[in-house]
Amino acid sequence: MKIVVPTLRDPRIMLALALTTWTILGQTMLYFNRDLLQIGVALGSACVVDMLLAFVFQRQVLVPISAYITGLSLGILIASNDWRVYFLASAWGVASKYFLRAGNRHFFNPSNFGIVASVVLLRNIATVAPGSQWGGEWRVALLILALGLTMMRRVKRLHLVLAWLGGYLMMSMLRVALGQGGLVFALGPMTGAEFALFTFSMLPDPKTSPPTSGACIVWGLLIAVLDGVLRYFEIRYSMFYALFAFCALLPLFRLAAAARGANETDPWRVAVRVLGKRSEPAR
Amino acid sequence: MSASEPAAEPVRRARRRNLTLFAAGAAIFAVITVIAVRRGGLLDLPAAPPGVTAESAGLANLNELTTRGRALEALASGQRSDGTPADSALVQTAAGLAAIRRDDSEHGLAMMRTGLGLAPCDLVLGNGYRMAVLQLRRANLAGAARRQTLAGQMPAWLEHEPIATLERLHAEHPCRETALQLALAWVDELILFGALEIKAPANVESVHQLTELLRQEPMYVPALFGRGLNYLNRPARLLWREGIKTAPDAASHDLGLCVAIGRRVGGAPPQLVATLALALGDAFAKEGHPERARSWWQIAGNTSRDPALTDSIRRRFGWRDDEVLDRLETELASRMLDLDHPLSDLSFMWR
Repeated sequence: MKIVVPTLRDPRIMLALALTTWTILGQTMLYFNRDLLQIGVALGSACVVDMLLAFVFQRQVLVPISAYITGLSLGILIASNDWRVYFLASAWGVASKYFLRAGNRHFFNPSNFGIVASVVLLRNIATVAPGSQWGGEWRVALLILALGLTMMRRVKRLHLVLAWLGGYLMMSMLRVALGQGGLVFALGPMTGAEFALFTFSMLPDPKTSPPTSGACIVWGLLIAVLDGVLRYFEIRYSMFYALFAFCALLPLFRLAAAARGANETDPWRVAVRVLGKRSEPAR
Repeated sequence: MSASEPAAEPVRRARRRNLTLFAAGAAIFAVITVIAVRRGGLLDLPAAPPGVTAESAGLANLNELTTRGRALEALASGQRSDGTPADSALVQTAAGLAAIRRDDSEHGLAMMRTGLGLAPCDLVLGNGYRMAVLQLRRANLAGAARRQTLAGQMPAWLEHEPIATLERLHAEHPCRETALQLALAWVDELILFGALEIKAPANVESVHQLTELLRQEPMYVPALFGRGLNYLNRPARLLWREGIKTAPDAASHDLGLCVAIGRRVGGAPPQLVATLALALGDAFAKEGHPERARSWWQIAGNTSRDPALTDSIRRRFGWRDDEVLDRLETELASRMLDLDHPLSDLSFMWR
């Protein structure tokens, strides 16, 4: 039996702190308009399900920091009048880490999986909250962009996020040039919570993005292109679908990287204590 | 030195290649951006004519309208208006409204007519008269429905109102405000009678009159908004005769032009901007552009934090693409039943 605790160097700590701050700000001054009970259900169920599954499948007692991020993201992003949707979305998201694996690694981002599963399987009752959650305030969006990029630099996913942002801008301009609305509609989604959470939480998840810099850039660009094509055909939740589709192909990216000799290291920094034995050193 | 040079060459080559790729990407991006800006602009709205003014758009005196609207309500409720001098037209109309509220409807309506006759081009008083008639006619219809009778639904003094009064008023004082009220009186018919046999001709008549008005006053926003709403509320799956068919994007064109003119002249209150943005979103949804519709709904949501508006936007965001049209028709139909703020009520401009 192991006890797994994230250390302060774990990138998830920073993300969890940032998400918590955003949620508090969102509930108090940025018009998230979320029901606290719904956020609580999403958060609680994600953590409990993660701890349970980790115990059953890996004989671990873990501090559910990943599930905390998943639960909070889903609590903010999903809109529904039924609290059970939040439970299911969280449960599905977290369960995907344990049941959908290639080799010994999962390949779907849990939050993304939870969202896609909810909007596809619970079509009439679950949707993604409108993107006006930051109050449509571009200065807030700019601040979040700056903070997000700083964070990405620290978790070594800046190139991926920049590739995605560049690709998104290019596809947006292309859509406008092809006659799909004005610049505000193409670029407006960038000011929303949906976009920010996708860009700085789901997309750069080190466990569900390619291991090499070059592959990360290609990954970010491909997701942007698919998202742009889906948006051109006015398909909702395009970002989430695009990431979902490429995550499903992630094992192939990993195989290609391995063939080129790229070493995939575990990005999480945890302290593991094996009960009855001495502690393993923190990674 | 000589050993390191061959090793540095591939790095230099890779750097050059990356730089070339980046430059090519930037150049393509710049070209696409120029095309995008020229083609779509910021909001992809119809172009507002350069000479448009707040006066020609009918948006010049919104604050005055607000004050007058409040004064009418205050006087009709027996309160003193907030120091604004009340002219006899306002006093008479408010007294009529008060009488109607005391169930002295016939007399009250006659007093309102007198008041309106003193200021025929007053948008607030004209709207007040139409709304009073609408409520009375609706109450009469509801009463008849309760009695399960179809005969004699309207008393004679109400039978031809408000169209008869407004036609007379417009013949005697032809101004854009009376023309607008007359056209909207047909929308009132559309609200009162749900049957397609009445709805469709009322819609056509209203559009016809608003088109006539817009021929003389092409930038008059209330008329553009009224016509846009008429197009929007046409049942989507009804087959229209060739002569009265309109362009598929007629609603979004009129409502988009309202927004474009509003942006050009400025000064509109957030609630009005949000109402226009919401209606424009609905128009795009009806025309089969759900994503563009959602963008406008979002703009409406960002513009005003009114709880009722926020609720209606949240409802709209819950609609799937394949059900948007049906859900929108249901939403528009339920909007028709709104007793507090009927669809044709112009007071949203000054509330």
